Amino acid sequence: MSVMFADGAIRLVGDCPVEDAETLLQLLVEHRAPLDLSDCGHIHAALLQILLAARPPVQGTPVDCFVREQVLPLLKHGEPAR
Amino acid sequence: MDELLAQFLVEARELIAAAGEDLAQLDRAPGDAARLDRAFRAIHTLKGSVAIFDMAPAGAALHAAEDLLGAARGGRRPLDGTAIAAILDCVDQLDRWVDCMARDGRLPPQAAADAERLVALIGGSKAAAVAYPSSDWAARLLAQVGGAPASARVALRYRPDPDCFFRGDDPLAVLAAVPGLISLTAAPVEPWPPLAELQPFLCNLRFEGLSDAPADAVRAALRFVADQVEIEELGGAPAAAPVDAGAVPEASRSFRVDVALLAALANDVGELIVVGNALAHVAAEADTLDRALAARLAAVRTTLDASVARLRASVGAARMTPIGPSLRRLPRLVREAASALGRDLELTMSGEGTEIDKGIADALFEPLLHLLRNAVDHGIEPAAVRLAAGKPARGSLRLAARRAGDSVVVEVADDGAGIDPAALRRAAVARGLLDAEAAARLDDQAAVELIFAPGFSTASAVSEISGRGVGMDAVRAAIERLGGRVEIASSVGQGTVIRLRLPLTAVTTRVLTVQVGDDRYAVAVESIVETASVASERIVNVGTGQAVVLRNRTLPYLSLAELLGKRGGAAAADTRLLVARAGGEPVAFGVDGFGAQLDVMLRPPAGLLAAAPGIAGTSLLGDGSVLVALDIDELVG
Repeated sequence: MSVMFADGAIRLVGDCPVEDAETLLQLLVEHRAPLDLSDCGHIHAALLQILLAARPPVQGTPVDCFVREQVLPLLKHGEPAR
Repeated sequence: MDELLAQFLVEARELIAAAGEDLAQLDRAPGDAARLDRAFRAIHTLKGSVAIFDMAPAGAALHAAEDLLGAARGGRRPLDGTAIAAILDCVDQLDRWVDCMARDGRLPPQAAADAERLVALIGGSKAAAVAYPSSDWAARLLAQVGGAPASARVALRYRPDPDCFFRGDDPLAVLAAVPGLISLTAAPVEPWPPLAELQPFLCNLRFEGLSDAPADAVRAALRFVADQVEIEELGGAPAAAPVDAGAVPEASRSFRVDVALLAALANDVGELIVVGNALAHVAAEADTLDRALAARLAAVRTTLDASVARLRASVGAARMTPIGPSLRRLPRLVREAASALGRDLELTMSGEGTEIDKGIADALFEPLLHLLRNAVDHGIEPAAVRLAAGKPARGSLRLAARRAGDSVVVEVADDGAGIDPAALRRAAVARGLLDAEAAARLDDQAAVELIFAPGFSTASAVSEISGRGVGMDAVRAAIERLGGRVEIASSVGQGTVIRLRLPLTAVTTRVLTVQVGDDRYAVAVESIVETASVASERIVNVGTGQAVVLRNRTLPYLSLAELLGKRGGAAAADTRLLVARAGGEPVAFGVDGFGAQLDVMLRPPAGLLAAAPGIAGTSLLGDGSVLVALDIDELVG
């Protein structure tokens, strides 16, 4: 499982393919929980889209260099809405 | 060849064919906005692709063509016949350039001059080429990021297709591959819906970014999504015209596979069949030792056979391909032939989607090109002649493919002069192919079919276009080699139809060639159990026949040379054995040597061979020789 709910946070672990999109969406709908990217590798654009729509607070620093430098700022930008 | 270039060649040819087709349709129906859009996108994508290679003249010509199509699209300038002809010229020239790139890896020296001519023809100018205003999105992007870092050289905007996730695209992976990305923004195209209503697999994202890498490198990284991307060079002339954000390329669930890989797969399936046969043999041997083990082996073999049969069917299905790509260079070559011969004609093609075995599809180009050139040269009359005969000045040439039961029929039809049987009879006599009496006995259809006789050419003057080298006999030989037939119907003054009837799948039989004396024969791999070599002294006389002991099993021995009524080779110390199943039992056949395994198209024996026992069929090989395949069962019985 590369998307999971543990210790009160939604965690993305390793490379997260498009198949994880529905699970992630489900978790975000069900839990008002922060997103932990500490062990996150590459994420598929479908997951980015869900995160941009949901805007959860983000914690942790992704492992993947591109995600860390280019994608993480997109998720932190303008957060949190509430 | 460079992988990038190889990919480009394939894609460029597809786009060129698509653009050619759309432009031809636009010529007939100038108001067709969808066609116009597609032609524009094809040209735009081509322009983007050629920019990756050292093809600047092609880029300039395409730019002018794109300008013209863009103006037509924006309603600023309607497309007339002259404009379409000019763009079509540009596309044809690009097709030749692509051929040059494939052959030499570069454009010919006169390319720049050709491009200049095309640009002038299209009515573009160098001034127009830089007339694009710097787009406002790039300006906005720069403002948004608080002024571009001085190093930024390229602004890019990427609007992935809504369906791109379904196709397996990951826009973030695409962007991760963009060199020198120094800033990235992402925004929804439509406002985000409430989270519970979000469609997770429809892409609603638009990305914008800045890169400090050269524009060409950025473009190369984005080449597979070129139609979804706008790229603007900063601090210089903008390079790319914006395209519609909504441009959606056709979704595809397929990808390219090297034909050699398919051939290798087919070979391996052949090997598997031989292994399966050997397993049957082992199972039979085991039966004498351990019945239970033999039964299990037999069960394994049945399963293996079923899997191999399915695998074989799948490999066959994977080889099916639309016939279209094999035909896509024909329109240009027909246009060239028509222009060289001063003929006015229109080529219509249909049935490009008809599927056929890849091997057959690939082998069709040459014969069809010959037939089409023949039709342009000898079929379609000059306009004046046509008018005098009460026909429209513009000739019509039709290339149509369709499925007909287990075959695919490809027709080349013209509304030209037709073939005069009387002229063919005279020509056949003049060339010494027939005497006058035999020629007079031929009915008209048979006389028309003389055109397929080897070395027959009906044109009074051998012309530049179709009179060289290959004749209709070569066309017929090529089609028959594919297991097909050629039919002709012609009526004087009305035109000629040549019909190629081709097998849907290459129904090939895998054979092992064996040497017997001076001759080569083929034996179906399916009937072969194994091949071996034994000391000749181990072949012993048993009663009236001979036998050989192979791996503790006594097999009947027969010399293939004797069976075929030949004198065998000189007695050698070793004898090569082909163990094959005859009447269900393995029999060892002595042969003089083993050759290659081949996939051949077997045709039932005809003529004298039909009467000879033990002949399964014949196959025409690529070098023109005939291979006789043996029917082992019949030979022994």
